[in-house]
Amino acid sequence: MSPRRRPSPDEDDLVDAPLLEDAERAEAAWLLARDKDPDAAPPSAEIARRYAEIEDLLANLSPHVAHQDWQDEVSRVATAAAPPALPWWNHPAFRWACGGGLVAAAALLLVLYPRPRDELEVAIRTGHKTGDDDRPRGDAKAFVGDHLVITARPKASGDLRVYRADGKLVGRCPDGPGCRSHPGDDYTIDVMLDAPLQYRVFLVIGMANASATGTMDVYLDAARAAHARVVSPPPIDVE
Amino acid sequence: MEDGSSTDGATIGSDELPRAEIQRGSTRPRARSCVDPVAEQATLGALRAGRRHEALKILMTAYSGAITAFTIRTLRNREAAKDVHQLVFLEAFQGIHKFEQRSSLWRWLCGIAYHRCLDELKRGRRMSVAGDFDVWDELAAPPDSMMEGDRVAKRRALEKCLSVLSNAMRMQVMMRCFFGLSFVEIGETIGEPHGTVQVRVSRILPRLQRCLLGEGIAR
Repeated sequence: MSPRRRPSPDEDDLVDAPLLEDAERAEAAWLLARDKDPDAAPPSAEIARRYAEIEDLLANLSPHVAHQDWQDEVSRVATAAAPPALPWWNHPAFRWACGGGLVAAAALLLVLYPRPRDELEVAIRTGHKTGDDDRPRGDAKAFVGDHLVITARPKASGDLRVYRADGKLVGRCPDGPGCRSHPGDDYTIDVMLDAPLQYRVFLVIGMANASATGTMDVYLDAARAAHARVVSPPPIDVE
Repeated sequence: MEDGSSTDGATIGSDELPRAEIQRGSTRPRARSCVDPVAEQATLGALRAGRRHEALKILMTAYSGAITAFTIRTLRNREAAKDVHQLVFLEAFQGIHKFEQRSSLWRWLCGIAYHRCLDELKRGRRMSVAGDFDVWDELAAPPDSMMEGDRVAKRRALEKCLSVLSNAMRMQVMMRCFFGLSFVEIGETIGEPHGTVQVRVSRILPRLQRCLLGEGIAR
């Protein structure tokens, strides 16, 4: 960064002025060189001694003794000019402490009360190979041969089902095809998408004695009749 | 602006160097440092504790002599120098909460002193040519009666030679040799490349040398 340019207080600048004589030129050149290399050879030992003396005198200029009470004067003016002290609740330290406390409390809440996981998660696992990444629903299209993996975490007794567009029940939890869960745990259904049709997923909560058979429409009518809560992600189109 | 780094051999805090070098006959530049490390630490400690008035008092006690020496030689007017001297510390008090410790407090004060002197010179008020002789005589007076007559005569001649320099020359040679600032620090303070300052000071000293010779000194 280049330094700020301030106007010189007067015009007598020696930087561009011609040197008066060879001796002065030699001395100036030596002084300049000496700043970079302290061992730069002076024009003569006598000249070096003279400059040492001048610099010693300059370094020890006599201070001017100020009048006795000047410090009190400055302190008095400083006090008068100083802004009034901040009340304790507006003090920067207090405000920082409050801010820090709020941040700490928020962090503690996050630790103690982690964000609840989604009630229903739908992912598509590509192909037939095991170990492939599960893609969240919506990231890509599904193709015949992919696997639909659904995890449900109903807060009450729930019934998780996967229907094909032709009405066929292809997965059900608990106690149904594709279910990998035990009663009391999260429900997980893993079904292979075996036809280029639309698949629908339903999590029905609060419907007792749901029929294990029947088409999708019959099942949904029964859920509505029982005033059950139905959670359903967007349909999955399989190509 | 607070950069205390030095690239030219006049590092702040090396005030023990000149005496040792004189004894060995080296030609190393003799720029003393006015930095008072104890006062600097005490001031910063007071600031951290929120005691700004105490910090101001420490600064005034440690550095007022040098700042006054600078302002009175720059302005050549006792009243103006006194006002600027007080203004320097008042401004330091008002701005000290913004001090970022990128340099010493001393270096920071030097910058304030330079700019306030410059302001006063630009205003051009209260400049009294007639009062110059009185001020220079006073400055050259020995601080104690034990000082050798030869030394007193040299001081008096130096003060006279300083007085014939232009304001800018006088300020810069004092910032270098009396304040002990590096060329980089002076350049940053006055807003010029440090190389320009370096060349300028290397030409001021021969002028002073010849002036002293003319006064019958430095032979």
